[in-house]
Amino acid sequence: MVSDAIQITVNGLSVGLQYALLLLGILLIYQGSKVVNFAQGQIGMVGGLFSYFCISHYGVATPVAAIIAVLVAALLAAALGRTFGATLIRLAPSGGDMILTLAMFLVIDGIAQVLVDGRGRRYPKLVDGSVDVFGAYLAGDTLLSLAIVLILFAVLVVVVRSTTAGIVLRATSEDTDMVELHGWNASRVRVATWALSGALAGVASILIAVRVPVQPDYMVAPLIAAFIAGIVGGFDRIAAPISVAVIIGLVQNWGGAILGAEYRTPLVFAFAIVALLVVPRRWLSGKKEARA
Amino acid sequence: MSGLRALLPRGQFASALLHAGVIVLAAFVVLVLQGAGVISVFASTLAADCAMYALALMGLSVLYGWTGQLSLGHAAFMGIGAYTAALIGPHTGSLPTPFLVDLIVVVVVGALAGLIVGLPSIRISGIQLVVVTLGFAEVFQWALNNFDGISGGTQGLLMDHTTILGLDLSVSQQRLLATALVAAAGGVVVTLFARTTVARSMTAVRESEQAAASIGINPGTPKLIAFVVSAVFAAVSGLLFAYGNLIVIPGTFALFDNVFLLVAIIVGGRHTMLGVWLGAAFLVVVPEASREVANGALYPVVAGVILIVVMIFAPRGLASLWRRGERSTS
Repeated sequence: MVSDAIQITVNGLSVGLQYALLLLGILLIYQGSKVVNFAQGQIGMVGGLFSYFCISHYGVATPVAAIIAVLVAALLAAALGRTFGATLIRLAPSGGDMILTLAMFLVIDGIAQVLVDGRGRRYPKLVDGSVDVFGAYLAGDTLLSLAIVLILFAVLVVVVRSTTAGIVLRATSEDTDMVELHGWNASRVRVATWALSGALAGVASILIAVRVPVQPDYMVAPLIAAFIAGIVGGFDRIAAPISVAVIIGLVQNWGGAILGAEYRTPLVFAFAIVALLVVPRRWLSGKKEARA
Repeated sequence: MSGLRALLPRGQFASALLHAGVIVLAAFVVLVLQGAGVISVFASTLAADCAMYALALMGLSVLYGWTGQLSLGHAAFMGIGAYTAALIGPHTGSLPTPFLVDLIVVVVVGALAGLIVGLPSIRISGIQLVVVTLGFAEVFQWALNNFDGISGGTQGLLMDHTTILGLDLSVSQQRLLATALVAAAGGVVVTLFARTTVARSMTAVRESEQAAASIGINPGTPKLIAFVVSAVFAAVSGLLFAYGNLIVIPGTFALFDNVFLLVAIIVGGRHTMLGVWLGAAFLVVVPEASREVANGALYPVVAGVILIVVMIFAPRGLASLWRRGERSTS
């Protein structure tokens, strides 16, 4: 039974960290410009689907296709940030940012539905084989996903804390005018933030693609999980929502193992409701209160 | 225009009756045109759908337009109404007035659902509320698919009876008339409700919760009432759906339907009755037009593009372009 417990926990951690990665991109944009990006999952999906067709139609090697996915997602996000960034910031105080990114979600999803049918496709494994730990079967992709996300987090922490780029990025969210006074172009920083966020979504989309059927809506469920982690942990923080995302992965996997796989969806929401009731009010710094 | 308006009766009762009159008249115009062979029978089906959606959007207008609460669970409230009607149908069918009993039960169930889902709104708002309402909608969808002993699963449930006030909703023309009458009644309720103290406190809370609290309004109360009212409107709209569609299936109240209802009220205009009807027309015309041009898959793209254009050029909805100075319901 120890082997089962290890397997469920490691898988849950891996899934939770994928949610966390998707969420991190949402948090970056939110903390930079107070814009809630509902299109984050679909930006990743474009990268994921694009790289799938690179593999299936043009025989591109899987690792190369994965890198292409990240680039495509980053480019798409940068284009969206470039085109709509200013409008989104203008609309944000009234909640219009959520509506506009929801519209982006619809357009991207719709275009994907028109170009690609809704049939689920199997993305090739990134690494074959598995590891045996105390009798627990751990798929290579699960461990790879764990490692990639943890390394990315470590790199980002160092970059954001200690490099000039990271300092400018943080400064833009604090005081745009001051950043401009120091000779940086705030709107370029914003586009760079979107690109980075898109790249994170691209990485998440590949890590998720190897374990679920790939179709235009395959990033919707992870997106919802990421948003639940965001509202419970708070969009103004980093460590708390990221931890909650990991917990959601664990709750889903353990709950699914104990109650049956069909209970995964309601479990996540049950977790959210309980968490929102239990979490102290001052934690729930909703957009409205924070702005008033 | 202003000369004509001066002739119209003033006051809340007058404007409520005027609204109702216009709706019923419009329904008659569609029926007459169709009888004369100018438009097809399909037109009355679309017009009936429009009236049905308008009823649901009136609720969303109260929730989002008046109190500023974004919800991604409105189609689920419609679903609750539709499924309630289909579930109690076999029991109420033999009663002398099945529609009246159905209506009362659906209103009560809708109100309870609105109360339960709305409870978190006392504590949270903005993005948190969006995610919580979305969660409610997803769990509702999940329950429909997993408790198939009650809900009939993906097969859905058949509606037992289809008659409202002697009008048979399985017949397209009669459905239009019945739906228009119910929507007109709903419009009267909203217009009258807009002038009450509760409605004013809703707008006060939308503008600033702190300011509202400082003049003695408990912000939670109007927010919760808005949820209950909006859920009731959606549920009754769902009841009309069940009567007219004869079968209710989970797919009608799925994730995207929640999104499209919200999109519709924003595109139409969330503050006025005109916006409600423009939004309802959007929900009927855009998918139909998308199907005509290409296939149904184009609908989200077209809807998304329209939404983006509206958000950039008329964030208060298309209705705000029409007579900018018009008095709004909120």
